[in-house]
Amino acid sequence: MGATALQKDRDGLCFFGQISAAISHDLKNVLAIINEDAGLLQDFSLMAAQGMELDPQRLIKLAEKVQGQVKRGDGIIKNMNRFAHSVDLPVCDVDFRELTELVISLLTRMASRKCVTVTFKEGEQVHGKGDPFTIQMLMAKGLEYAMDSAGRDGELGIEVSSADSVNAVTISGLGETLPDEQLAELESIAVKAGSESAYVPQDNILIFKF
Amino acid sequence: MAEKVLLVDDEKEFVEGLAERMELRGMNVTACTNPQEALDKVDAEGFDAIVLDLQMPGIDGIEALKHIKKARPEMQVILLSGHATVEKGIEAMKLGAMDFVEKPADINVLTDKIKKAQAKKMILVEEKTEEKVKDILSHKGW
Repeated sequence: MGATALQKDRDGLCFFGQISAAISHDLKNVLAIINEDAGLLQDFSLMAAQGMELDPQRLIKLAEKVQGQVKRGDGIIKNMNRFAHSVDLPVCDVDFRELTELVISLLTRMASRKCVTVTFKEGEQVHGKGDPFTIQMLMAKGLEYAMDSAGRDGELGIEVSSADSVNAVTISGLGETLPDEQLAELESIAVKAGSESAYVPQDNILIFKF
Repeated sequence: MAEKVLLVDDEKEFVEGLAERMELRGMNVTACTNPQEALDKVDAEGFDAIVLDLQMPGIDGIEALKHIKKARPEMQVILLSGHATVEKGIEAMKLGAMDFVEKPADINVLTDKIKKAQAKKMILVEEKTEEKVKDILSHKGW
């Protein structure tokens, strides 16, 4: 295996690791909340055993909180599963809206940490062929750099569109100019994803064409 | 004496649950989900222990730790994280964190660490007071 192929594998692995780490962090938070709620139930049971009256409404609320966290955890694991299966086939039918939505969900924690709001604009389904994993990597890297460019309290919009047999994912709302090394990295991933990346600083947008 | 604790984490439900359990154990807890608000509280009030999440929106736990130790060196910080990497742990300890707890936290372990934090803070405050008294005595020449 040549050095370029090895680097490509490593880039993909790094991205997989970054997303897996974010997912594990979210799951840890879900478990931590369930742990505290279970602990409260235990505390209330001990207090009840000592003769203190239990408020049924309080117990119902705790049960609802646990159910809410189980639902949240289930959503995180479903996204994780979809992401994990994106490496199954090197080229397949791609639903660009669905894939973009998944990338936005996977980067929710990053957006929160960077204090950036990401809005996915309504639109029609856009289908094409491609390597879903590398396309996700391109969109995620683009979104990460767009968040840095937008800065704290920035608002990014993402739109998926199709015209004249060209599918496009457009990120708008960027702020500071993207550095050359970031643009070069995006270009390099875009080539692997069979895409073209275009940065229009005067309009503060980043476009990926497929 | 009840331990005065500042609990900082952006997960509202986690903070609410843990704060209630700590209060049931006799602690006086101030819960905060906004890191900047928490730093303002540190500047304004005294706490025996600060339980601080490592990853929060807008401010890194390590940055918050640096701020706290600079503003109030006697305050004891226990970092809380879902990702307790060895590197982060070492960095936090070097910067003056008292301890590191991984989520989900065991309430008994956390309570024990908070009690130790209170004791440590009291020693530091006593040492500081002693130094002040010595300084006053030496300058006044009594």
